[in-house]
Amino acid sequence: MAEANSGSLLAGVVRPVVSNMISARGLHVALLLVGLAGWLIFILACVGGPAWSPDGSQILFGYRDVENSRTSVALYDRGKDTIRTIFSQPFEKEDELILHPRWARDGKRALVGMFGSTPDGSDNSCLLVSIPIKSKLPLQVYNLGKTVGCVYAFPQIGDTVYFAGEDLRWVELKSGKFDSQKFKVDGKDSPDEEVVLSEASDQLYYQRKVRRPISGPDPQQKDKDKDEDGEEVGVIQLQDTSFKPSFTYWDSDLTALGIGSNASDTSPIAPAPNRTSGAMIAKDGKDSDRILLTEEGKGIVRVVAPDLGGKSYSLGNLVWSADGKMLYASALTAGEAKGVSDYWLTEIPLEGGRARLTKIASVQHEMAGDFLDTFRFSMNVALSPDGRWIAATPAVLGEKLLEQRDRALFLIDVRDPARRVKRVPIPREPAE
Amino acid sequence: MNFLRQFFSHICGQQHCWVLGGVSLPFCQRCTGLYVGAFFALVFVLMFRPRPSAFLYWIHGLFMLAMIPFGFHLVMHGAMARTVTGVLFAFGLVYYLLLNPLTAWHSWSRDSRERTGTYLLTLGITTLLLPMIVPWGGRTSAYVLTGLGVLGFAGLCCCVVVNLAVLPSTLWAMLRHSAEPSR
Repeated sequence: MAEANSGSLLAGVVRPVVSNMISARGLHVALLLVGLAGWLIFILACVGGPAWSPDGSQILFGYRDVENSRTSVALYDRGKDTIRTIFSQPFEKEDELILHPRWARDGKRALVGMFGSTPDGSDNSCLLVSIPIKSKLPLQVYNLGKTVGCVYAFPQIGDTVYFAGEDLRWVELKSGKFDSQKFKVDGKDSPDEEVVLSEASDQLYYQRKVRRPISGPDPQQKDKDKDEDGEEVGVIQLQDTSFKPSFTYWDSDLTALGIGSNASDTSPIAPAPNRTSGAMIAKDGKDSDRILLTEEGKGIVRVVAPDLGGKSYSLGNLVWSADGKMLYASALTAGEAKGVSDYWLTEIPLEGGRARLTKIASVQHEMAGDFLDTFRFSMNVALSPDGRWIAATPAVLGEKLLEQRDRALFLIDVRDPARRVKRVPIPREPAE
Repeated sequence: MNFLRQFFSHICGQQHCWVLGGVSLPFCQRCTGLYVGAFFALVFVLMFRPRPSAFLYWIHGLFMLAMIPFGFHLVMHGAMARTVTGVLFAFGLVYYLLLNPLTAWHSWSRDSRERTGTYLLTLGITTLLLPMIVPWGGRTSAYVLTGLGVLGFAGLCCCVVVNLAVLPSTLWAMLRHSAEPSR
């Protein structure tokens, strides 16, 4: 009887538990599958997929549509391998500056800074055009008024795009609100500034022209010709548009470093991934360009003369590798034929050694004059967010300067020992 | 590091990587949370073995579901949020992957409430502490996080292998149970 009782007890208590355990097993198998599917989706979404990547999966670039006399912006989708024109405007002069598109931070819109007409008829007003890529809002144009800041890169902090010239101007993309404010020096408005912006780690860096008297035999003597120019580098305090200087370099500093150019001839600083270092190009009329490495609070700490195998060269822009050990630069060297230049991607190791060159295209122009300005402003190289690809295009050049096959976006795999180059021809729009 | 960067490029887009002391991690900020978080999740789940309950099923499910708005960029978020959501996803994933093996081996703890509480506390501390390593980060942090991430990834792979080994017996037990005539 006792045995029967214990048997029924077992049946009454243990069986539901076992039954629960077995149904729990079914649930665990289901949750295992959920977990594995979740991990798989996580990996697929991270490696690359539609709609989630603010950049990296698509590339914007400006080009010259010589057949239709337009400067245009193209969007290349790497996943779909498709290319299309998203913005176009007629150009009047062959040497007109090309459009410089950028992504809005949320990856839903392309931003283009360009000169346009003001209501009063003058033609040097700066326009910011916001072009929908993954947004339902229509194309929007913001008129920022007259500013030289339009020709430089326009940094973004959060949803706000900044331009700088003699003052600071900004557009809040979400609200469309535009505002401007004079820079403050010693708590007062400073009317005559020449400021260039760059961004890193959600901070707005600046370079501005400064001047100091050269101490001569008579310290009371105030001779403007005896003043020395320099460039001050630091962070803009956005709450009151004042400058927080980090360091200043003067014409005499560059002379002491053996560089035959002035402080104002240096390029905007490319901030390094470690946030404290930077690099800029010192243009040298007589010799090849030099790279100046900077440190926050210290100034110029090193001059790098890249070894491009004995070739004389000009550098266009600098981009840091993710580990901060390499600088990528666009470079121009004299070609083998007279009146021809070669356009390269240069990989410059900062620990020393010869730079690696990957040829992108030949240009039918010698390395001189206004062409060098076009090269420095418009033929930049850009590193993909994963640090693997460099994008560059010479398609900004005029009809006679470039062969038709080189009117393309070039993608170079910098992790491939052979540095394979993928060529994506610019969109062929039908002539009107 | 280059080898690891190559290796993880197959499973990670390597966009938005932390750069600590000039060293770029071989995985993105979210995958840093996932793989480093997976290491800690494995340690804590195996240490505390919190017995499954409806609450734990749901909380870990929610950790994984959080990846939908954040992973697919439906809400705006920054670098820290990427890492934190990666850590939470890791805890959800590891718990789900360990359900079968620990049930098969009858390894769940008995004093569940206390252990579950301690487990959730360590989970919270890890979620808060891991992203705090980054601002203090130098080269050492970069190498430590990379090492933990590699261990975490290896641990996740081990979980999958163990599940494959345990799954036949689990399915067999389920089949036998369903074939038994109900009394």
